[in-house]
Formats: sequence, structure tokens, C-alpha cells
Amino acid sequence: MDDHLITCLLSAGFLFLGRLHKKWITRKNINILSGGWGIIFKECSVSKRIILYSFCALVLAVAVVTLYYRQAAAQTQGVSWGNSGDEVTSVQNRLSQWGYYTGSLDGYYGYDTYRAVQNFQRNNGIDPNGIVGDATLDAMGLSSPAAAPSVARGAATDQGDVSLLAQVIEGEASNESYLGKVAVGAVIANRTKSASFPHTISGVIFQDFAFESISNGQAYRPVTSESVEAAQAALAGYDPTGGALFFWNPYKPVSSWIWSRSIITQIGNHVFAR
Amino acid sequence: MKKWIIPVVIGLLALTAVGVWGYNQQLARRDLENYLGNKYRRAFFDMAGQVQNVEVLLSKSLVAADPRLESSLLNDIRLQANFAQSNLGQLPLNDALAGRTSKFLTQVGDYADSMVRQISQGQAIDGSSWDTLNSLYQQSTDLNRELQGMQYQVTQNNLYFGELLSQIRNNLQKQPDNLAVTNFQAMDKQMQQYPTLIYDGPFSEHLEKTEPAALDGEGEVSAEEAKNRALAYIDKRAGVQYQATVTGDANGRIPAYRVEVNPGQEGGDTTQLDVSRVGGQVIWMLQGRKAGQPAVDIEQARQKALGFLKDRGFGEMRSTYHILHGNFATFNCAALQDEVTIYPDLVKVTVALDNGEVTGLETSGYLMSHRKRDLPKPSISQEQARAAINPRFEVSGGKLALIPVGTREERLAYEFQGKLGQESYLIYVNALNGREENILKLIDTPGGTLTM
Repeated sequence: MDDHLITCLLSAGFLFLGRLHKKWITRKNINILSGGWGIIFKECSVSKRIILYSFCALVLAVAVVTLYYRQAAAQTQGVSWGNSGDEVTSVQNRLSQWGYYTGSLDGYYGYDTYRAVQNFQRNNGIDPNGIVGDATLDAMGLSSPAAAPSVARGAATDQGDVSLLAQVIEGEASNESYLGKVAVGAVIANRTKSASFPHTISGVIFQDFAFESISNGQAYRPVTSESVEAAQAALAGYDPTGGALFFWNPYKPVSSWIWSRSIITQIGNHVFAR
Repeated sequence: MKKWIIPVVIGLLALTAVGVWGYNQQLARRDLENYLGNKYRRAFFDMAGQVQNVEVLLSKSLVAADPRLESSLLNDIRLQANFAQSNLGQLPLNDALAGRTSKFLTQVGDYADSMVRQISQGQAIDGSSWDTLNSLYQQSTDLNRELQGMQYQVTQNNLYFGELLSQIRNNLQKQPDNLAVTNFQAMDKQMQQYPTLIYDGPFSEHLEKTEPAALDGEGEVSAEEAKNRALAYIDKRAGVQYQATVTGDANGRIPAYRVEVNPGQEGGDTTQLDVSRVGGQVIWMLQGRKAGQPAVDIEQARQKALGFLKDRGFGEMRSTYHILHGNFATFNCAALQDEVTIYPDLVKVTVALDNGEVTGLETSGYLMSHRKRDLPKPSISQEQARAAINPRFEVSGGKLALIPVGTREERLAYEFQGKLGQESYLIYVNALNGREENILKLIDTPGGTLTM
């Protein structure tokens, strides 16, 4: 029902009620003038009054009930055939994400949208009436919850990676300069991004025979603040090695295989290679 | 010759032999203990990281709207939960902790699996499934917090694992023969992520690229020229004579001269730089000094960093995120083109907070990918993009950004900031087709905001 109609009904009802007495008086006079009929009218006047009052009450009641149903409908009805607007666009958008709707996101609820909604409802165990009501909106994830949901505060940090990396830097490069420490950290960070190595800091560090100081337990000692800073710089993306995946001390005996890698540069007592 | 000498010599020899044998046994035992300890450490740290991933992925699954993104998140959850569980199985933990954790991980994996099936059949995640995800998320947060407490203990004093090992030694009659490493890691996709500055982790995979785009068509520079370029990058102090020397080569992704810049007496610390052979661009610069008490605030430092880049010929840049370490701040600065943030073209600038001096610069990502791009016209409006976002979010922002997808692709997307409860996220909605491209979770650490 139209908004204007309800407003008309409501105001008409109130107007009638308000003016009833005045009108009554005028009508009474008219009735008296009209002679014989007037007596009947006069006799009936009480019942007519009741009729008029009940008519007004009826008009008001109709208006109120219509209004109530309209509001209830606004809550449950959502959007249906013939509607248009942003809400229809979101429904179309969501249906096309799920693959139910292939038409354009024009914001008009036409036949295609209707069919898509019905299919969605059927698949989700909702009455397939083609009307996007509360249940359908909820299933589409489009209903805004009444209260803000309570969501826990996360506990994610980068502390584990920083301290692990600092430990290896301490074990492998405690006598190196800051740059040399960042470089060792960068090699480990580079390995996590390479297809040939584990993709985690801990996976790279604890790989068998990867780092001598881890194998012989020398890395497990207190770390200096410089090692921690170097670890942070390496995780922040500093890479003085130009993408190196290996490093070794050229003054110590190492396997000949490692010398076959393509050497990038030397920093302090370490050679870095890809 | 006295008769007792022979038995004494034999006795001494026997004693020495036993001693050597014992010592070798001792060494072997220590090596094995180390080996075993490292296996446990790896399993433990991997598991802690995977549980953290489960937490972050669950929180993303709470806020994703696009079913395609949702099912890829749920698949990752299942995978990470499975990894975490098998790592947990390798740890010598008592049943009380391990049993509960293991059960939780199984549940998460199974639930994610069932949700993926549901989505693949075209069914949506309704309110009650969302509540279940939320409760799993809260449990994963608790578990993650607990594991981080243990992680802290392990890194602070390694006694923890030592004690564990001595317990095991007492309990075991024979050496455990079950040391085989399960080969999880043979996956080319980067499964585990660590918190990092925005678009620096999975996206800054520049290793695969070969030619730096920013140096395309540039000529080779001489060592002399490289020294001048290096000097131009130094954040100079007044009245100091800087000396540059080429100390070597670097044949990394971008071949370069290694230059050392010396400020002489009382001028501060030595700075090292790599200057590319082609184009003469500085690839990185680091000054190895300590910073004293902060005298410069973050905003001043940020302006300093942006000014530093501007003076050195980087076009328009926008500072996106920063982290604090020691008394330094490292800023991520992304290029801007027609008001669009170009995230792949990222430069990092480190500023010492004691005097505001720029002590570090990292441009390799920028040099690899920077070029003038043909940006497409967005075919959906910001409002339409906003409609694609989960309605549980409090959404703000909506600027255009070019984001890296995988290793080579780039997509134009609207960048929204979303808040859910106390958590913040970045949501990227493709500006051409309205798809939710990615969700990043912002992680507050004492040093600043990181993303995962």
C-alpha cells in the first residue's frame, strides 16, 4: 500500500474524530428542518453517532494495522522483484560471486535476479520464494548484525622470528661487523623465499647441516643487541648480499661443491653466493 | 726389571683406551643430543609459526566476503593446522598440553574442510558458521599466546629443551629411531609467512625477476662515477669532508660496485653502499652505528625520509608503514602515479632517531619493478567496491592502489581499511571486476604496525 494513502487515512480518521461534535450539531439542525424524517433521525441520533464513531475508529484501525504490517514487511521483506537500488546491487554482486548470477550488476531486480535468488535459496535450505528476506540476507552474509560481534584481539607477533634469527647471527657472525651480521640474516631471509629451501625461518635455521653453530650448539648463548638489530634489519628487507643463498668462510676448509656456486661478494670473513 | 711394571703398563693402557672410548662416547652423545634438540626446536618453532598462521587466517576468514577468497583462506587454514599438528606430534610434550592442542588443531582443520565443501556446493557461510569460526579464532589466539610464552622461554634460556632432553634420556632405553624429517617443505608456494612491513613478505619476491625495470636502457657507469653517486646519497653533516672508495664488486641480482664512504675524523661512522653498474643507482646503503636516545619524533623522521628521497630524484613517494628497531625507524615508501599508490615500487629508508640522520636505504624492490605504468581506468566505483566488503566491517578509506599479485602480476584495487572489534585489516577490492583480491591483517607490535 502506498505511503500517501496511509497518511490520508490516518489524518482523515483524526479529523473526523475531532470535528464530530460540531458536525453533529449542524446536522441536527438540518434534520429538524427536514420535518418528519428529522424525528426518525433524532430518534436514531444515538445509533448514528455510534456508527460514525465506529466508522472513524475503523478508518484509524485500518491505517494503524496497515502501517504495522508495512513495518513488519520492511524488516522481513528486503528486496523482491521490481525493486531497484543499492541493496539489489549488493545482492547481485554477492550472487555473481557465488556464480548464481551472470547478468550485469545494474541494481534492478528482474527475472535473472529472481531465478538466481531462487537457486541460492534452494541450495541453502531457504524457502525458494524469490524474495530476499532476513534469512536469505543472512545466508548471503549481507545482514548487519544488531550488536557489534565480540572478536578477540589477536596475539600474532614477529618476536619468534626476530629472536631465532638473532641467535643464528650471533652463532655464525658474532665477530663480523654490523653489515656482516645483516648479510647473514639476509641469506636466511632469502632462503625462505627460495623454492629450494624450507619456507620458514625456523625451517631454514634447523635444516640439517645448514648452520654449523646450530649443529654444534654454539648458537645457544646470549645474543648481543647488535645481532638483534641486524636480525630486524634483515627481516625489514635489507639485503647487502644481492640475493645470496649461501655464505661461508673462505679461510676455513669447506666442501669443494660450495665453491662452484656463483659468488656475489665478500663481506668481512664471509663469501656470499647464489 | 720389576715384575709389577707389566701389569701397570697394561692397566694404564687399558685405562687410556677406556678413557678415549668414554670421551668419544661423550662426544657422540653430545652431538646426538644437539641433533635431537635441533629437531625439536625446529618442530616447535615451526608449529608456533603455523599456529600463528592459523590464528591470522581464521581472523581473515571472519572478514572475507568473496567466497573465492574465503575458500582459499579456509584451504590454507586446513593445511596450516595439519602442518602444525604433525610438528606437534614430533615434540616430546606431555599429554596434557599436546592432547588439548592436537584436538584443537584437528577440529580447526576439519571445520575448515567442511566449510570449503559447503562453499564449493554454493552454500554460504551463515551466522552460526561465522560464530563457530569466531570461537575457533578466539581459541587459536589463546593457543598462540601460550606458545609465544614458551617461545620466549626457549629463546631466553635454552635450559628448557636441555631439561626436556635429560628427561627423555632417563625415559628412553634406546636412542629414538624415529628421526626422519617429514618433508613438508617441498612446496613452492610460500606457506608460512612472518609479520612484515606491508607488501614486503610474500609479495616482494623479486628473486625470480631478472632485469631491473628501473635501469632499463641506462648506460654503464665507471667506478669514478659510482663514487660520486655514492657521495650524493650520503646524508651529509655540515663541515665534514667525505671520502669514497670502491672496495669491491657485488654480482647479485643487480651487478654493482661496492663503495665505502668515510667521513674522516669525528665525522661519524663509515657507510657502505652498492651502486649499480648500469644506471649508477644506489641499491642499498647501511651505516653501522648505534643510535642514542631519541631526540626526533616519528613524524619528523618520516618527513626527513621523504625529503631524503625527493632530493635524490625519486618522484612522488608516499610513506605507508614503519617499524621501530633500537633507536631507528625504518619507513616503507611507495611510489605514487596519478594518486595511485604503487606498492611494488617500494623503497625503505632508515632514520636514526637520535639526530634524524638517514642511515639506511634499500631500493632493490624499487629498481626491479619501477617504471611508468599504463594504469587502467577503474570500471567500478568506490561505492560499488565497498558493497563487496563484509558488512561486519567498519570500513574507511578507499584509495586506489596497484598491488602485486603473485610474483609478476599487478592489479589495480581499492584499498579499504576495515575494523572488526579491536582488529584492523586492509581489504583490496579489484577496481576492474569488483572481486575481493586480498585481505591483510594489521599486526600491532611494540615496534610498529606490521602486516600478515
